[in-house]
Amino acid sequence: MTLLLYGLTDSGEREVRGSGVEQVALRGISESGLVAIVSERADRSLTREHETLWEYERVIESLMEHHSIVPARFGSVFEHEEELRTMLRDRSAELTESFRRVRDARELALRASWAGGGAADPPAVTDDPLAQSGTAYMRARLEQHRRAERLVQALEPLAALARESRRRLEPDPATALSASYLVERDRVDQFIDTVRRLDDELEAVELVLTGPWPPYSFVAPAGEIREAVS
Amino acid sequence: MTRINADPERLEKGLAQLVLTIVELLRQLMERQALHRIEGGSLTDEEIERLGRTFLALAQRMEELKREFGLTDEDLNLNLGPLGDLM
Repeated sequence: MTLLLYGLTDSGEREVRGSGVEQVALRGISESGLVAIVSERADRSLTREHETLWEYERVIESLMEHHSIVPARFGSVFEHEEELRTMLRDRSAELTESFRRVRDARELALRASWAGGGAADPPAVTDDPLAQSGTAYMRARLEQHRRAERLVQALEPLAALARESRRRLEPDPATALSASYLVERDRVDQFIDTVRRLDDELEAVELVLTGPWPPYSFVAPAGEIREAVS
Repeated sequence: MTRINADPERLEKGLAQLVLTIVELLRQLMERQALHRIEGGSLTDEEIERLGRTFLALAQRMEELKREFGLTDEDLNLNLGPLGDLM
């Protein structure tokens, strides 16, 4: 019987309850001050079907309602309990630090898209590049870059509400900024209200907020892929 | 034991995704460097024009290749585990 790992919580938290993928009961395995939340599986294989991925995600989100969680990477399957305990012992210091970092916090993801598309989108691919003005393109890109940097300042109230944040300027031509915020549980509502207010105020971008998610962007996932998923 | 799915079509798409991710990373880095140099005033008008045409052509070619391999902007990234995403 193998063990599918969902995440880690700490030993002082509430008893692990509920069911995992395919409605198999969850249980906790305590080791080195942490509790690994697992369900049993007959074998190591796990398909990367859309439904399975979402079911796995829903289990972690459900656990988040009652526990602080360091989420596992999808597909972390252990041959037996001792293999899991060994991983927990070997990575004890790192995982305990990860847990401390995300304890009582949620991840919220923000995408700021340029209203009306990017100002310097590449022209249609059928256009002859030689017919375009390179200077006009670079000036448009420079202006767009400056607008993105001003947006970072405008979104500062969100960073101030978060325990930590990560952002990426202009990840693609249509997007001014994508960011992840680690927000304390009791500040999530205030954070959402602030996003709504900023979305009303900022005319250059449209803000889309998703979450709360497990804090994937702020910790190294617990466990590792022990078997290829197909 | 790790199994590898050797479907040729998926392998080709995976390889294209990897190569285009690296090209896109380099394109973005070079473009940002060029923007900094424009802001700093260290490029002549002629150099700005030439760079602009190069980046424009590259951006258009990337769009063509993404379309050809059925890739989106979100596909052109790599998860580096503890280090987060590449871009």
